[in-house]
Amino acid sequence: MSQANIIGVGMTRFGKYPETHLADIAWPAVKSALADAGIEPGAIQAAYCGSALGGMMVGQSILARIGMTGIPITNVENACSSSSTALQQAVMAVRAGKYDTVLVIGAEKLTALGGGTLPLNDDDWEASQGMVMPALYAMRAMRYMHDYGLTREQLALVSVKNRANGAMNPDAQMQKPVTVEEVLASRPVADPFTLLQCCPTGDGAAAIIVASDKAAKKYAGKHPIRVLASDLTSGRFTPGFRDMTSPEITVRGSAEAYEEAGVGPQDIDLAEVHDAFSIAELIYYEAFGFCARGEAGAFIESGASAINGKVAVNPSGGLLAKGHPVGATGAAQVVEVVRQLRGECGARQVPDAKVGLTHATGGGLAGFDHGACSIHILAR
Amino acid sequence: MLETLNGAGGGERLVGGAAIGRKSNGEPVLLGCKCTACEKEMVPPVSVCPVCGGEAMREAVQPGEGVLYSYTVVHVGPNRFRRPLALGYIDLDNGVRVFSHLEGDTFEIGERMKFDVAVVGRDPDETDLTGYVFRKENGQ
Repeated sequence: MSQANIIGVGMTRFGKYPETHLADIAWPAVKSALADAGIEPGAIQAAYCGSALGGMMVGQSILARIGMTGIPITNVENACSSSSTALQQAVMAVRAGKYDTVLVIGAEKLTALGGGTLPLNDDDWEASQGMVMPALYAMRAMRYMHDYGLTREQLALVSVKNRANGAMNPDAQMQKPVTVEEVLASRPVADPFTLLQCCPTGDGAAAIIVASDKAAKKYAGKHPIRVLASDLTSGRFTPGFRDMTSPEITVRGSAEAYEEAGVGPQDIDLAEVHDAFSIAELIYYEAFGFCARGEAGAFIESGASAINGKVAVNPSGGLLAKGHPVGATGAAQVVEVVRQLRGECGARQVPDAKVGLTHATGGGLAGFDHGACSIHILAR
Repeated sequence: MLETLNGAGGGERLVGGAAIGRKSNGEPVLLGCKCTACEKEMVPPVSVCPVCGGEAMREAVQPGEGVLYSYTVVHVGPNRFRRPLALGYIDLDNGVRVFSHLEGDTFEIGERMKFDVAVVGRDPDETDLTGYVFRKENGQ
């Protein structure tokens, strides 16, 4: 069995491109990843494309723009985990020996939907009664504040940290740093969240080249990044009590990923986690074991999750600053971790980064923490 | 079998109507179901058990009281509902968790709430939306 390696990455800056076709937002990311890997388009054997809301055959429409059709293309929809699930499928295929060179794409154009909160399934029991994603996360935050005494100022620190990181990332949608006062004074969305504690809506794309050991030796112009773990799981339905301060899907997924990789939380130098709303990053510190239950507020306050801290969380700016074009998010997290592990991140570089993880989870469904979760652990 | 408002055809436009029943005296009740195989109860009534896959589900009137697990007041979302909109999860006295609109000015996690039926919004065609709500037990 071959290992899977990442030999090239590329992305289209997250932002708003209402006049641009989704395929035209995405193909430059694909070309950029190919060039990064030093591989010619004709050497790619298969493609997996993640998009949550882009419609049918997003992968074909992107690759048709640049003469890369005729290979097997699999389109993947898994809500916020769409392109991380696409990567998980590509890694499985390479490890199984089916392909040596696989392209993974994440692409999304949320401006095509007219703005506002992410559309959930109309027939969902809770969504039909007015549930929206900010409300779901807000209830997690309210309960967490109640149980552990987290303050509104500590909650706001997530946005302050990630906006500061995003200001150093040329691919981030939001590049202006903010203060705690500005975060708390922005308009209310769902108590306790203000606007600056919610990820922006936008468009974007990211691409990854996955290679077997043999192909990694042949093509990698730069140091190949090893995939230590590639985990996918789904949420467990429960009709009764669910502890909303501890995301069961991520707790299970992180345990699976650490076991597969043979590493633990103490080995992680940086983590790109799914901070769709401020509270999310805090509960994921605990789910990944970066700090104990109930200590996330003190953890961020101490600077432990800053770029120079114990574990740099969301050095790219995360969803809050880099942006969250749903289906593109998982692949873009991998782009950041690969660049960090190669030491290419300039002002936001995590010192001596050796091991990093990505975490994309989502899907609002009644009775679930989340519908989908995909975690990857990468090492240089 | 209780009559559900969903099928009553009384001219009301319902939200979450599958979970609203009426006793013979007209009093509304929260309707759920129980799986005869795994004995899990849940709201709303469904025909297949989402826990074990069993298809022998029977209607089960739920306790009309419980404790507020968490809540939020939302300023965004579908404009058919009032804004701001209070939403929460109630843990019923039998352990079933229910998502619900909340009625009241202020809320506290852990406080006791009771079931009721109320107007919860209005469609653009001026038709009121009726749904189930939970309000403070002291009747505020």
